[in-house]
Amino acid sequence: MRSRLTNKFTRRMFLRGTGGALLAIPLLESLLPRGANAGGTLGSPRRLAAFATGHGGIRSTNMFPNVATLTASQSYAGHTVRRGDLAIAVDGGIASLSPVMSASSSALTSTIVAKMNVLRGLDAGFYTAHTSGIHLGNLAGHDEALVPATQRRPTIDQVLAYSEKFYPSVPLVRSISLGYNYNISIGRENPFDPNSPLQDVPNVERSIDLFNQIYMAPDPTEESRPPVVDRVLADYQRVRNGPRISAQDRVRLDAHIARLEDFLAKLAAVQSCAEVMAPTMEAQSVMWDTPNFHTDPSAQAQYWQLFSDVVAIAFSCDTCRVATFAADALMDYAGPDYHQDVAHRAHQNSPIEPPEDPLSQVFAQQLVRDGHQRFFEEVYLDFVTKLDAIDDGSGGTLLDSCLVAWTQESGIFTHDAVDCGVVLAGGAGGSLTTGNYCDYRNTSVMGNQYGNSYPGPFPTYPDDNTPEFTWFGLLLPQYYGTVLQAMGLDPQDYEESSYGGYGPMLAEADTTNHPESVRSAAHDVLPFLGA
Amino acid sequence: MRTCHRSHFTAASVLSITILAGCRSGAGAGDPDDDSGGGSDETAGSSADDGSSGDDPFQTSKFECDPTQVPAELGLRRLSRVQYVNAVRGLVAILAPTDVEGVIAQAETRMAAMPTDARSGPDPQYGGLSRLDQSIFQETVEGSYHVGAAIGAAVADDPARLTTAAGACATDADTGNDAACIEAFVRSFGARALRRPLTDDDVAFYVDVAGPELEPEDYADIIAVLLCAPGFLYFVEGGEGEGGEATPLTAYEIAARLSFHFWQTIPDEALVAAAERGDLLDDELYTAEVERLFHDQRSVAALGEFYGEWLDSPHTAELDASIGMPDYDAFLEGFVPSPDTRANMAAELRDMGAYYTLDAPGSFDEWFRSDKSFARTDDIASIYGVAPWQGGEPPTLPDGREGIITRALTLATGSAVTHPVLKGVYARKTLLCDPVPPPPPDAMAVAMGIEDAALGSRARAVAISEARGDCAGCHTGFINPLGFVTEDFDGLGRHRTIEKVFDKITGDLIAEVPIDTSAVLQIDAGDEREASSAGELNAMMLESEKPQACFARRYFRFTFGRIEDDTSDGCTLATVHQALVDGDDLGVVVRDIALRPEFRTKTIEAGE
Repeated sequence: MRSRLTNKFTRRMFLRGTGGALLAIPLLESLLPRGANAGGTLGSPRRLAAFATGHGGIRSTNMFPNVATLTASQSYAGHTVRRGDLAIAVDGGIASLSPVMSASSSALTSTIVAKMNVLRGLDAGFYTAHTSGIHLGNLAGHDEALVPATQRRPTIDQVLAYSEKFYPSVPLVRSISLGYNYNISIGRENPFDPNSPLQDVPNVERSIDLFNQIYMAPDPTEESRPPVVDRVLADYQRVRNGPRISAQDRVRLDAHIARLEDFLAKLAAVQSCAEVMAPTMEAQSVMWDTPNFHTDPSAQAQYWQLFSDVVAIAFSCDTCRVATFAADALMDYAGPDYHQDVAHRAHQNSPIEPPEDPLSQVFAQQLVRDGHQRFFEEVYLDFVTKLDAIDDGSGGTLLDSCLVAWTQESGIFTHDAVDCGVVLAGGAGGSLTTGNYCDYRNTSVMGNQYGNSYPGPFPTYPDDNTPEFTWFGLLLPQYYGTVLQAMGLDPQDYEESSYGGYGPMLAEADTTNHPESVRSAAHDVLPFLGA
Repeated sequence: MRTCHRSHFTAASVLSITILAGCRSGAGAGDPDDDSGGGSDETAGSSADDGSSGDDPFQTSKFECDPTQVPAELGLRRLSRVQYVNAVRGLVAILAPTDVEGVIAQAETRMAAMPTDARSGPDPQYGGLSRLDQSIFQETVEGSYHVGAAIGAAVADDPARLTTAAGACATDADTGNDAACIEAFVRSFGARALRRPLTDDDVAFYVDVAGPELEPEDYADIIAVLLCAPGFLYFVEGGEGEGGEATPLTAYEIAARLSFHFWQTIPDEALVAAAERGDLLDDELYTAEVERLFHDQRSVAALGEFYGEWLDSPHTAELDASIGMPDYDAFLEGFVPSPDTRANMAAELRDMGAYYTLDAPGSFDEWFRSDKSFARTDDIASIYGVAPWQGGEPPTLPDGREGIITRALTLATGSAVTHPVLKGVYARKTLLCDPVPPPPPDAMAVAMGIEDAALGSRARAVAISEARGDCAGCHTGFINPLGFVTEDFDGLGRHRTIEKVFDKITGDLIAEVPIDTSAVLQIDAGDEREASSAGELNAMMLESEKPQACFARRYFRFTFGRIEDDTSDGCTLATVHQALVDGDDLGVVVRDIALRPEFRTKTIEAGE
């Protein structure tokens, strides 16, 4: 007779608080018990949250801090890279690092900024057009016309999710993937088999479902009887080893078996929080019940906040350490196609003709800037603030053990993965220095992925006559590797190319833009960030 | 599941104007601006319409049947989510026939949280099918367990339900009959869950799930394990005989294929009985059984899934999304789109397919160029100017409206203008299965937008397409003309004789542009014929036999759950295609694919 497993879930819940408003803000006062802490120190588990927004095309003077603040430099990978201290300017209750990275001075504080990094000058190395893979290391994306499918890779969140270094024991939930109309997370059918086919990681569609994953409501059946997952597993194993199973079928069954084994291991997972109130408002309901949700930035913000509430709980209680958010700028554009009407013209700063065009008096770049500013303040910074409000028990906060990244689909020109920006918060448990504004561009190699056909510099704004060019810099695989190293992995855990970094080196064969010195640097943690 | 068709909210949905490069050799089908599809294509295999293998942007309409070719092994398929949910309900109906909803309710939350299938294929937005999504997710594995546990508990915790499910022996005070009771339950319920009789080893395994001292709760555990079993969640097919190429499936395996293909659920008792009798191994009796399944109304849903997913139009945004825009409000001229309008448009195409396939079988041509309305709702019917279809004989459409290309879903844009370029892309990709090459990397550097709106949609599309020389090659001859022919329908799908252009700020009418629907279509390479109406376009497309070939490809995928290979699957494709060209009833064609040997065999490569 089989041995029955013991249900080791120790979760205890205060079910269903009343009033969704309780959830809204601040989250943790309403959902987590008083005195909640992250149960760790700066040596505690590290967590990664990755926010992604589409389109890109944010003008550099809107996205980045002033280049005049780059006061230090060093020679690196054959060119000069620069850094400066991140410092906010406060005016009228608004604190700013840049027009996009601005927020209420009560939220964007010096304390928070000291825990941030802003990076620029990172490139894909080839034309990417659209790829959701740019955010997390699947640079080949889905488009076989640009990059062969053989170059696709699992995204780094999935590398972490199935890393024994990152998760010494199996967690309740290995990773959280969020988004309602696209995915940024790619894994394998059998996550323990490096030759297994790639597949999108499904997004969790409902925030309450997510909560139930990380704080599964006590199930009478589970409470009263031990689970029989072991018997399910045994069933698969006996069929798998049966006489009439083909080689192909066996591989598929192995994938299912691997996931059952993981499931079985999770049954022993514990969490550090015992008392959590379930959210009473559903993010998906916000989307469905809000008229014109897609032009209502407040509703869009609320949607993401409801999810990030739950992610903060998961991080705090250590039921999951990695989450991805496939998001977008918080838009209020009411036209039929934001990307076409706005993002495609993001470089246009002069009034649009004809005058009756509703955008004629509103610069496309202004819409881009404002949408991303709202995203920064109401989604990204909101989440960062939540993490920083949780005491880690040793004088620090949960944010200190986290890395919260924000990346965009393109660099400062839409479709063009040159001079991509990365916003980071948290020092990943002391793995990274913080408070840096880092500029990795090589200002001797002009970067213009489109060649001469592209308009080149931004046309000048009436109030800003400084044209802007792009310049090639360091490569994104180095950024991905930096994240993995910050999360505790060593280069040998993930590198596959002699150049280093994460993923294949897809940079164009022509080394003019990205010379060997830049490619080889991908082994390293990005300059200025190594602790 | 509600879906979002708001196109502007993702960088991946760059749809309003797509500038394409010249139709250059060796170009792939993928659009760099179009990466919003579902599952990773790597699992979808290589298809004939992914454009990766040929230099010709025109898809072939010819298939060659080489009887010596053997289809590749069909890897272990899992139930689609729709099939899984239906199958669970089917089994609950066996366990608790009078209280299906009560039992399902206890698993509903778990079931709802399980991942949906993404429409998949080489170009998911155009003809992608959810059956092709064969991803194995952690959430699926865990979710199926939780659903099984919840169903088991719902049955076992209620003595009345348990008595119904397993007999009085499961709940009486006599412990002496417990072992026999649970074994009988495993044999009977297990056979329905696993879709085959259980072997003695199977029975011993599942009985062993119970503890040594039998309790009602043991039934819950057994139900849970059976609802997670490989034989339930997957099509485990070992076939008969020695294995190898074209191994005959067992009668039970054939029954499962039939049932899930036509009904999306487990075999009913009659089909199980036919399998038991061996009828399904007899050609004549098998044909009769296929006929029974196909003509059962339960096949309507599967047909709807096929037609709905194949023909879905990715460029049709939610029709109510731009309400409040002055030009859109003026354009609507009193029409009030609701949040359901797009869904109603999509429903019409599903109903239309089911009608010509099942209700009143007609030829492919009759379906493809139908002038009947299948709009059940007032909103869509009013676009057509007919009464809503109540079933039975459908109303005839006015105004020369005929065929798929004039249905509201394929014409509507959700804005005050039409999108002839995207209509052309739809016709190419969805109806002709032509791989449209991607734009050159810098195509988007062309300033595009709403300049010169007063030109009207056609002239504006021409101007944009000709803004760069390397765009015109594809757009001028290959893409745009297919969209120009239906410019006598507006952005809502209403017939028009003049294009009204409205001021975006005030909503005032600022121009009236004459309609020009004439175009040289280039359905196939070198085709210089001109058309100026939907009817002419339909006729030319049908004459090319390309839509029939496209149907053959898509229905192959829907049937076998994998991408076709033109060589090894050539016989099936050629047969379906020829039947459609010959004018066979769609119903016959759809039914007959289940009569082909490929449906009843499987190539089984040796295991370890």
